[in-house]
Amino acid sequence: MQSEANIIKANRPRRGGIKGLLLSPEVSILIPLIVLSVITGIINPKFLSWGNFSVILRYSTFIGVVAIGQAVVIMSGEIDLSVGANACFSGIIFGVCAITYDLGFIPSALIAMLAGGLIGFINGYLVASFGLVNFITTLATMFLCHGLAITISGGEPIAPLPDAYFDFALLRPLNLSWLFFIMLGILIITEIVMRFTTIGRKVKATGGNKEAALMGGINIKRVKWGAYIFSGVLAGICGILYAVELSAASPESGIGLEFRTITACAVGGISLMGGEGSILGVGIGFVLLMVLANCLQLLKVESNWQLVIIGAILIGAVLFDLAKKRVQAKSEQ
Amino acid sequence: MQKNKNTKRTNGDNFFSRIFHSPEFGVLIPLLVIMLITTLINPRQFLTITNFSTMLKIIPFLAIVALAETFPLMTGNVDISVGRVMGFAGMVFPYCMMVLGLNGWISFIIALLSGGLIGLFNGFLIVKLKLPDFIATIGTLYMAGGARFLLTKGYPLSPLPFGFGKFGDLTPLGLSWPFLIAVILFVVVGFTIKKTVFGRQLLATGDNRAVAALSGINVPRMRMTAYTICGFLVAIAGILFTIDLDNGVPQNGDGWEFKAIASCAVGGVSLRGGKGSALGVAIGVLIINVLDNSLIMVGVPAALQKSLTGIVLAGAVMLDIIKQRRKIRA
Repeated sequence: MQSEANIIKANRPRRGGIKGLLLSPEVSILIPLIVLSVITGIINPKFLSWGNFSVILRYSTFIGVVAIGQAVVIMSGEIDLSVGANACFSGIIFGVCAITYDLGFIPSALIAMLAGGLIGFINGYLVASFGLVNFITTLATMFLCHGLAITISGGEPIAPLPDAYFDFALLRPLNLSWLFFIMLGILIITEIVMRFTTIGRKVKATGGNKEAALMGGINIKRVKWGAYIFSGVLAGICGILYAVELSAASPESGIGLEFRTITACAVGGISLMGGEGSILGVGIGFVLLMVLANCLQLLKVESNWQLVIIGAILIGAVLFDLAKKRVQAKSEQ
Repeated sequence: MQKNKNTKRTNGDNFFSRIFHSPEFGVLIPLLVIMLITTLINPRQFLTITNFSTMLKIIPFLAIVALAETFPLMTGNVDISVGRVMGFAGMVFPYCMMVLGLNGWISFIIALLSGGLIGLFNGFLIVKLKLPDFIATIGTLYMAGGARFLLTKGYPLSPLPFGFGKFGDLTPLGLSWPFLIAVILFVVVGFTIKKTVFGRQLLATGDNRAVAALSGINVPRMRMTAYTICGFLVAIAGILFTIDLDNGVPQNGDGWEFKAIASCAVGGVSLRGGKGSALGVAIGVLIINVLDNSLIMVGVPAALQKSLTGIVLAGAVMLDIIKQRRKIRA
């Protein structure tokens, strides 16, 4: 299910100077974010306060962690639908370890991340080694995770987590939360790895052009496998963070996260055909989505219209990406 | 992307060996095994007329949606929006009659067209604008998902005028109307896929696009037609469901996209395109529904059922791949 657009792109050298900066993908996403913020700010001045904006950033933590993993999977040319259910499943595992077995924070978190990673491992095995279609595989693991989450929890939220966790979640450095900074840390590290190391280049090469990557001696299977495991572990971290934030592990959490993270990636300039994009762009992408939701709320737009708008934005973002590529391909000829 | 000729079959000499070697037969075995096990564990409740007639009441709708999904899948694409489009068309129909005050048949046609147009829109995005199929249909999933609530601000529309409600209660030949319509649709589609040039061209398009284009098939048109037919069929399912319930409920069809894809996958429709039959899909739908029913009958907790559905889905697709690999080796 890969399109011919894959062939066009390679790692293009970056242009320097102001023009290069303006053409860089991150800036082209930043502009709609600023425009949207300014318009909402004019209509409702409350919007532009740090108080409001910090709340948006705080809530973007959970979609953010998962979107980073999704972005890496998409860059490697695959897709992961299991992330939302996986976050829910790992969160439940964390809750069970922390409350029922009273293991303490670090062992519980490690086990939950391991559980998330295991789901990623299954996805990677089935997709990369077995050759199953990616969306069916991750759909199957999505069912699997969701069923397990409900079975383990008995359909009820597991609560309350130890008070210490909740106190930690309530700390407000810069009016944000430490959970947000954990997400930010993951984002920065992933960005550095994807941009400056061979690992990042290998992932992009695998997603960009499989054959060329194979010729270049890249172990494609290992790359895809790695991407899925990374996404699984991050889904696990999301589950933990969400449980800490709510002081409860809910079997209802994470529903619909798969579609929202894919939208965030598309808006953030990750090419959905694989091989291109930056994690920083995804960061701006999911903040943009959160700002949009907040803006529509402030404008008292009905929630069902919001669905329609998100759908249109998703399609629009991908169309924009395709149009950009066509222009680039023409200018290179 | 590797594709192999799997439509080619060793033509056995006699009738029985042909049946035995047909792909549908392979799908039938798990269905029989599931039914046998359930009967052994819980014969009193499973093998009863009430149980089966309850199952048969919901099956036609899911079956039509799965049949619709078969078309994009055969051409090597996927459509995630089917469930929400079904709900949307199922709302447009009563909306036209009860809010806009239109004639019953005109409303029917408008609802049908709304599904077909969304299908065409999907096809346009994917084939002409070259969006990834998955993403484009997630987009329409969101849009149809929001739009169906917008029509009535989320309120259901009931009861239907013009005696449509009674239509659902009729039982010709002891069966329900939706069931008969589903059977007719399956026969028509099955015939089209197996016996007509159009069906062959659809399968060829999914099997290998380059080869299909070289042999003079208009590949883009085939793919767009597949999406449009899918939209129409899904709309039929939505309208029938609304009539059957005598109530237009916006939430109808939520999550059915995954059930439909699972039914197709289990029913031997290759998710890489180029393979599929109406009979296989029918058996696939039966398996998914009978499995759901059996798990309840056997006493598996409701929560675990979802996990098992996932495992069955993955297992069915894995089996398909193992079979293909064997054929390549042979």
